[in-house]
Amino acid sequence: MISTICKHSVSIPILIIMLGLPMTHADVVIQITDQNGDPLADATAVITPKFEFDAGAPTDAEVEQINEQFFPRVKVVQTGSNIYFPNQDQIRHHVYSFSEAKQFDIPLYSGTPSEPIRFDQSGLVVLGCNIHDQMRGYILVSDSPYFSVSDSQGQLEISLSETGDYELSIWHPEKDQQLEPIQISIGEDLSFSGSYQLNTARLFFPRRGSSGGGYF
Amino acid sequence: MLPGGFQSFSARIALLVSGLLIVTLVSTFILVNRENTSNALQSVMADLATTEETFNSLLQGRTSSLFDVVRPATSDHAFRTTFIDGHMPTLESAMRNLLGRIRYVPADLMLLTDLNLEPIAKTAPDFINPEDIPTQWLTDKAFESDEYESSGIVATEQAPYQLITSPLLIPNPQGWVVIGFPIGDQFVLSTKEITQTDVSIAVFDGNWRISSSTLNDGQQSSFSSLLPNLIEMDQTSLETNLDGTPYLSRLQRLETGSDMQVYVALHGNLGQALAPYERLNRSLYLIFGGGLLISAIGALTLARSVSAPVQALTKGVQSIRSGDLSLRVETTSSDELGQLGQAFNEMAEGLEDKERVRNLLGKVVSEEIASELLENKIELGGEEKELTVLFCDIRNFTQLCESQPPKAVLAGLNNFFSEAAKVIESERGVIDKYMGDAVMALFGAPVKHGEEETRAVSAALQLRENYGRSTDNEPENIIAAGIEFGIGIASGTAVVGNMGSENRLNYSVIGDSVNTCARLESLTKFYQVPILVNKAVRDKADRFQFRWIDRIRAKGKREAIDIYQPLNENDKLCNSEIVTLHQNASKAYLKADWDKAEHCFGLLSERLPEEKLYQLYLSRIEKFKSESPENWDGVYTHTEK
Repeated sequence: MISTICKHSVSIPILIIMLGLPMTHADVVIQITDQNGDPLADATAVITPKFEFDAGAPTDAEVEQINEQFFPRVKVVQTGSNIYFPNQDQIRHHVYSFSEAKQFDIPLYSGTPSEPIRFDQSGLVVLGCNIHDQMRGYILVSDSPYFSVSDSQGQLEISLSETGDYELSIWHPEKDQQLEPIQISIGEDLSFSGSYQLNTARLFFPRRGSSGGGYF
Repeated sequence: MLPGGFQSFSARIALLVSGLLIVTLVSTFILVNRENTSNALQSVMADLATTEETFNSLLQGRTSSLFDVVRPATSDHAFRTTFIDGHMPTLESAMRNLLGRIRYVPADLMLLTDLNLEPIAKTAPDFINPEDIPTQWLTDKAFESDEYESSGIVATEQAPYQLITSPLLIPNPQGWVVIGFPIGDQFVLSTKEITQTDVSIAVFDGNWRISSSTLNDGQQSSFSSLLPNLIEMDQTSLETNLDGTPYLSRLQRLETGSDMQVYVALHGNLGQALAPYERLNRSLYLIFGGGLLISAIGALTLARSVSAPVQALTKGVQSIRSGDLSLRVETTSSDELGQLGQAFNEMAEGLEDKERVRNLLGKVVSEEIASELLENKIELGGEEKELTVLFCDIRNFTQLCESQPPKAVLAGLNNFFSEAAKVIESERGVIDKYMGDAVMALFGAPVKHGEEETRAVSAALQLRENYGRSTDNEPENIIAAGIEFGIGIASGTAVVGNMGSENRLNYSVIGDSVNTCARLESLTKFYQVPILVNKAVRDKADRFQFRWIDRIRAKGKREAIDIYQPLNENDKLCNSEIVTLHQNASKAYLKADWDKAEHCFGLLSERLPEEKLYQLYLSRIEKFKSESPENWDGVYTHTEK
């Protein structure tokens, strides 16, 4: 657990290692660690093309409630996605969000509500349960179809099919710093590899006067 | 100064004992008092330390319970909904509703801010301005805690407020909640209820003031005036006098989020803590007073028990000095004083015995002889002295005994002897001894007074005069008056001293003068005169007139002596004619001029027929005429003793 909290946000050095590997699809491999060098799970990476692209149709998704926790804790969906909230517990939950990107609540229910919730505005949606204070889930609604969430090894992979300039945005629920988008170029080899180190806190708490507001 | 030796002695003992006791008691009292005061102080000090902990934990407890109320309240769905809804009157109403749910703590302040600490909504007493709430200070502290929570005190116009801050989670942090309650009257009263200690809250906002206190108004104003000094002294606890009651005040500064200083003062009532000791002191006073009284009485009694026997002894010694030997000291104890008293009694008894012996001796022998005997070493032997001896002998004692009962005779005899002794002693003569019906007296021994012969003759003449005329109806006086006696006086050398054996002594005289005296006394009968003296006496006692009686050679003596009769000046024998005639007759007789002598004596005998002496001479001359004596030297030799 990290409890060191700095008064000012600092940009950390980001190491980008270009690997010359021949591939049919561009593979972006990113390793994310915390300030101690330990792999950081539940970090999201969204790569947004800086050129016209076809986002494609969004797909439906699920955020389950298992053992009084949201699963997955962090979910990235494409704008316009419908998300089901199946309750796998024997008790009821009251899922809600007061986030600007999507405000909703599903009063006490068990099983899977028949109607999914449609997330048609990009941004971060923080999920909570009115009954269980400790339940907290995050849904990142992205306009770009290129995104992924790091696994327990802190690794994530994103497949790209076109060369060109992209913006890489990295986020983590417990990040304790302001993260600026990273400009990347995907060349002929269509491959990209990067390692990112994030400062995390147990509970991210935006400081008074910190610019950029919100959670990005 | 104390009057009287013994009074001061007993007073000194009493004073000493009481003084020692007072010193002991006073020092005990001082020690006990000091110890008690220090104990009370320490106990109050310890109580205050405990009270301070209690105060702190009470504050902590209320703060914690505030947190416990606030956390679920801010997580409440309806409250979150109201917050997001953003309708201020509703939100503030919800905040008041929330404060109303808190029963245990009198929280009446609540503030919501956004994450930039900009106030969103508040409900608070009018005297609290949201701008004055140190949210920056509170949230800075909150960032230092795991829970993003903090608490702190802020001074207000009225009571200081205990504030807590907690993040508003919906479910992520959206802002800050600040809730506060006054550390006011209710709080200090609760503290006093629990700790039984007075509590004051002092605030400095340019001036010192007491915001809340359990002290009464008078004590508060006392404390308020003491405060600046107390703060300046910067000591944890200080003895204070609050409106006449001694207190120990303990000050603790509370951390505040502003420049205003807030102190909590705990007042331990020293008077109350000292009360049991005061009771003990009162008991001690009683015990000490009683002890002092008892010991003073005891000491006086003891001193008297010493001084009373000493006083009695002094009285005894004084009475001995004044000659009363009969006084005895009462001895009841067997201690040293008792032994002293006993020794005194024995001494007095010894002295009395000695005095008794002396008195007895004075009766048996003359007082002067008794003194001589007592004062000189009693030993055999004596000294040769010039002295005058007087012999007085009753002539008709045998006839007297026959005619009277013995008791009366003895009484008469004693009466005579007493009178004789009185006369002799008045002339400084000393009765040497009584020998049956005779008295032997000495003049000039053992002490010489001068003119012994004159005084002896005077005594003899007085005796004659007194006893010739005594007429009294008392039988012994009649007897005494009827007594006929002769007196011989002789002057000369004699040996004076103790005679007898080692075990039984007699102070007496022996010598020629004694023998001569005895002889003279017996010759009074022969010459029919009352008193005879030798020449030495006649020569020395020239104040008196004497009549020559005879020139004799006593039996067994070789030397001849002249003997004389002393005369009272009014005696008819002192008639000058008779004296001349007597001288002529005597001279003629001594010259063996028998005719002239016969003529003269004849004339005298005619004139004084009662004088047997002249008839004696006439018959002696008649005898010498017929038979003239050989070698006449005028001496008549007595052949009888």
